[in-house]
Amino acid sequence: MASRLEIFSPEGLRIDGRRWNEVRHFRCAINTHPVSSDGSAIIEQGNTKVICNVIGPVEPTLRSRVVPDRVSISVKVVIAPFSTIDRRKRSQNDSRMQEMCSSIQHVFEDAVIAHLFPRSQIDVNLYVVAQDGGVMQACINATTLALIDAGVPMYDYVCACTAGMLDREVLLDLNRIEESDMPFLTMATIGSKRKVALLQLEMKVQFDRLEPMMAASMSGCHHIRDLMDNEVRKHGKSRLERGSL
Amino acid sequence: MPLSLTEESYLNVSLSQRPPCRPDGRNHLQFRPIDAAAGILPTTNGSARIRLDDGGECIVGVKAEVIAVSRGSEVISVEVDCDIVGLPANSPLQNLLCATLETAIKNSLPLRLLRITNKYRYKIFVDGIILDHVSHPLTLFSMTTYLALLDTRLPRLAPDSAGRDNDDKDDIGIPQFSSDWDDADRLCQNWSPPLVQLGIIVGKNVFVDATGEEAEVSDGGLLTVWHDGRVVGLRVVKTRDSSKQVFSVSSISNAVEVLANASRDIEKALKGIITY
Repeated sequence: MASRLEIFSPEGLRIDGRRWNEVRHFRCAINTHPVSSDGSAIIEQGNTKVICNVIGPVEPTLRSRVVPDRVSISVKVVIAPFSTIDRRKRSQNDSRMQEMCSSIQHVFEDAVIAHLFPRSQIDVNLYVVAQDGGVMQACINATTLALIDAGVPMYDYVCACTAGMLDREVLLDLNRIEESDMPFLTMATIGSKRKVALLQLEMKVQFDRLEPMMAASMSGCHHIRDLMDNEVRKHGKSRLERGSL
Repeated sequence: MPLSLTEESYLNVSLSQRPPCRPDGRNHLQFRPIDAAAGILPTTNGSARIRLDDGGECIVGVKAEVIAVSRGSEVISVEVDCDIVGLPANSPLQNLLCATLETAIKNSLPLRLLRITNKYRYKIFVDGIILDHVSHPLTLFSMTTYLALLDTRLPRLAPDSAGRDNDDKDDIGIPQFSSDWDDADRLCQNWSPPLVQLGIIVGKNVFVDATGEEAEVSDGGLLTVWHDGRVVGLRVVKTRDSSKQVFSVSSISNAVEVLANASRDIEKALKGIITY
């Protein structure tokens, strides 16, 4: 290996001490910005931190956004210049970011029960304040929680997770160093069944290794779904006790 | 939503009364409660977040970079940048925020704080995101920047790479830093960052922390730069399209005095958040 870091030790430990099938430290909170938005969430996956604000469903501000039979969702991602180790300023029109916005938008257009809100819009604003790999997955998970907080009906949780392939070893939920060292895919699932909402693989990988990667990230997604579900139920319970529902 | 003529005149009259009557019952020097936190982002040298009562929120991260300097150059490298969500890049509001803060920091920051060796110096990047704002975001951005700069720490040189006396430091090449983050120096140990405060003028009265509606009926705004216990700069700001740009000397000096009092209190409150 060219790099001086040992990505996966012979004992089966990764650079941050995880096993191959362990996800990073996961912390989430919902209803974090009750004044400025209808639904909000903060997600931390390892050192990646994303804030999500959802405004809507509301009447569209522009006539061009009126869809007669379903809700129109627009996603905006702001990546803070201080989120990476080296400061980097990105413009809003960066093509990679636009691609990320549109794929998140497509995922949620299918996950939200769209026909219940004809002629209305939902704005999703995502702020990436710290990134350490897995920005896309954190954005999708944060959007799910914020939409739940906003009370937008969805078919089920949309959860995303990455998985990478190092030689013949599958690694789950990569951090930034691992991401730069191996091919990886991002997968989003709907619910706890084997339904895939998004699959993104931008690097070359041998065909027979695709399936183990998908299987691993599927199990990661299900694990994250459980973690998110716990948080939502905990939050709902505390709201109920306070009598604010 | 724009105010109707009746609402506007009602608000204007009640604000220009003596004593004034604000819609939310505050006195002219009173801020709405804010929620502030510092040191929230591990990838930055210093960071802060402030949330206002009306939902306005700002996150600022300060990052330091090592740059090589040519001998004798005395330029302080500070860059201030902010993203205002919902507004396009390079909007007038964004330019006002960035330019004001950048000038204020550059004029007050002593060069020796950024010095590493004779050949290398820090460059400070102050980046902010304004997630949401209902009232004018200048005070919000300034307070968050102040807090983030208070929180900023710069790593020390590794003990073995620094020479005994200052002349030796000239000879070492790329500076080696101590790997112990707890050993880092506070940027603001002997320096206090500037604080920009925006006040609105209605008749003979001056108000701090104006809500959007209050700014909508004001004659105009005045910003003051507070540094080291005194006001070091001021500027008239438009608070609405038809706002006045000309004020009498007495109303400006009155406003400066009011804003100075407000800045003193805010400085004290923000310094209380960071524990050294």
